[in-house]
Amino acid sequence: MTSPEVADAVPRLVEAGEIQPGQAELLLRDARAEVISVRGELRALLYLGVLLVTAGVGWLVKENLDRIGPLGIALGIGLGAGFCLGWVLRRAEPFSWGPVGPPHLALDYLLLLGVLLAAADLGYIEWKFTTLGEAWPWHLLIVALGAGFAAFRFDSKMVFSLALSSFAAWRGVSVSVIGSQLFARNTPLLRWNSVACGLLFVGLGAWLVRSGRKPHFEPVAVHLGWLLILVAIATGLGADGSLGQWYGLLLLTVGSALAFFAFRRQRFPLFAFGVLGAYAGLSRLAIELFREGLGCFWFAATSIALIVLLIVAQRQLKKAP
Amino acid sequence: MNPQLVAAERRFEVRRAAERWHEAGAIPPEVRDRINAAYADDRFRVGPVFRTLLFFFTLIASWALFGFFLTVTNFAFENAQEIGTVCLLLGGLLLGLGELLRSQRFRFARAGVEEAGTLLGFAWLVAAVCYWISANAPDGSRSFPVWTFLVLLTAGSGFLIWRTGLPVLGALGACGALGLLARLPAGRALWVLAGFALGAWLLRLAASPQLAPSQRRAGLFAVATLLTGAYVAIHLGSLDVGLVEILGGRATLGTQRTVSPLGRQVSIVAMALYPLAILAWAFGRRHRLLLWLGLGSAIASLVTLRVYVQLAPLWVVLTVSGALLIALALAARRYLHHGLDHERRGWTAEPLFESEQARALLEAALSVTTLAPEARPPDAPKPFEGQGGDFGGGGASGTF
Repeated sequence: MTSPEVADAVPRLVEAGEIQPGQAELLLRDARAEVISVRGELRALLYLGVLLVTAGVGWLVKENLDRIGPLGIALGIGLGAGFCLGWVLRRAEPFSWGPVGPPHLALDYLLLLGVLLAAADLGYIEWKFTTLGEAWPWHLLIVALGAGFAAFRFDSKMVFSLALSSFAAWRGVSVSVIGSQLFARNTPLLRWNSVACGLLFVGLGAWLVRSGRKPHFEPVAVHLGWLLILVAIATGLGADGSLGQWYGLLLLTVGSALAFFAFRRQRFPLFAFGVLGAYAGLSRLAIELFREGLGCFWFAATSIALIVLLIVAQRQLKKAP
Repeated sequence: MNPQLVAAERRFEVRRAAERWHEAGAIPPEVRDRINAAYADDRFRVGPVFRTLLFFFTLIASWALFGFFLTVTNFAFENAQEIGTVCLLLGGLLLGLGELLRSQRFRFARAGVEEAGTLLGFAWLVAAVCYWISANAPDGSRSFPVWTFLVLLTAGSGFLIWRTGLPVLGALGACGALGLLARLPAGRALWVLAGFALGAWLLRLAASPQLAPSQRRAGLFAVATLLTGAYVAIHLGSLDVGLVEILGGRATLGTQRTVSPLGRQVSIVAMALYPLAILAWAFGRRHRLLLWLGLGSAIASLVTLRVYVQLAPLWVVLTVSGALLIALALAARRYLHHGLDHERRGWTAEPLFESEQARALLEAALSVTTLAPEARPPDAPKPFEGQGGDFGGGGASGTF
């Protein structure tokens, strides 16, 4: 979108010496929409392509198991994975513990596709040849470790998030639509598995920053970790009687603590998680006390109080040096 | 919009651009800070997280108040006049709150509260009028309340865009206009005409420096809605079910419809030409919104083709489409990269003041939600039974 205000401001900033004349040309062209970057659109096409190929491979295996030989399927998918990973290896920058800018727009996406195809191949081989026997879910751990290695080697946050979600899947926690499986299979074992995964991810994020090893991966680990923890506790809110209230109290405590510490560190997405969690916990504790009309009054009053609190908090932030 | 608010918006645009330049490394932090000081803001603004939370809790508070009013007054939800009264009271309250917060006294801008208040207040005021009319309509007729709703939606959105500049009202107003056109004879043809004619006019208007930035954005929302409406009008699926006619009250859902072979042929050709026309327009005008609409409609047309014509097994279509999309993106990138200064006719694949951090986090979140493997709790049986059971693991889901 053109921005006449910015187009007006650029020459004044050049006159004031804030922007170099050489820089001004590109800034002006951008403000007037005389140059448009389609990098975002190309990324969206690449991502959609990866989704479609992955879905197509899954459908191929599902529909043609009886017609194509197992070796053919395994080899075919393996070749696809090898092609993608080989392309990535040829173009990747040398390894570094710090951020590494991708040398090519498609590197992240072909790496993701290669890892997904390799994981699909591994899953299929394990199913067909039962290499792991009764311990078949352990193939997800192998996927997680492999994806984690690839994420670190080629500096890909997308593949890192895939590694974390594969690890959680190994523990029985599906994060593809966070909470839905937890709500559907509302068992204490699954719930506490989810909390343990969440704590592990949060701890991993902290370690990444402390050790200086891929510290820019920390937000991925920490956000996913806290989501797992809060959603797992929230699944207990539906329990009857005092157990539900205990979960409410736990969610209120954990949410409030997260909101407090996240606010101090200006980690606003985590702050939002904490506020929503604490509000859900508090409402669970209060709701049993109210009849229908007072329940509406509770939500109205607490929402208004929270709005005022958030506005005050925002004003405090602005005043802070 | 009051002149102080417009001036504040214009200064905010410059500060936002400075932030983008700084994140892209084009200017150092001290230059960004000096630009921020030179274009200082007198508004109370919040970041996206706070804005979302404030918007969300304003909605909760408003609906909770609605429920509380109903309980306290003992009004019946089935009584249109009583509900209309509650809607009027609360709608007026919320609109008034929005105005107060935007005024020079409080100076809220993009803070979530005043935005939610205005949107919900508008919705309830329109609902109040429609409830009263439907309560007093002769013989329970629905036609007059529906016309009233559509006129209020269109005109009200236009008024509020002029007054507040809320961008999403552009889409609401355009929906109202499409709803009105659907009720006229030849509604489908009018949708196509309005999409292109009105859309072209609004696109020019949305570049006008006379308008405030938020009003320009509202214009773009309206353009997107109108052009999408035009595509829906020519879409073969909508022709088969009579979607425009149903929305116009001239057909009912589920009624068998006969579409002439000529009509189907025209629709098929139009579905093929529409994306090409929009993309040509996008490249000619150099406009990102048109590019997205063109790509989106191209994908929709291809998906529709696969639904109606079984060209190949689904796995072939998915895999080949995915591979083609990847190849297209790589080819486009290569083509642009080899242009002079890595651009061709003003299009480039190089990053231009984008926030790489935000983009990377968003992609990581997307890959977790769409590609994460299905979990297998230890006590679950093995999923793959060799007769078309789900295949999970590593993101290669058996379902699409």
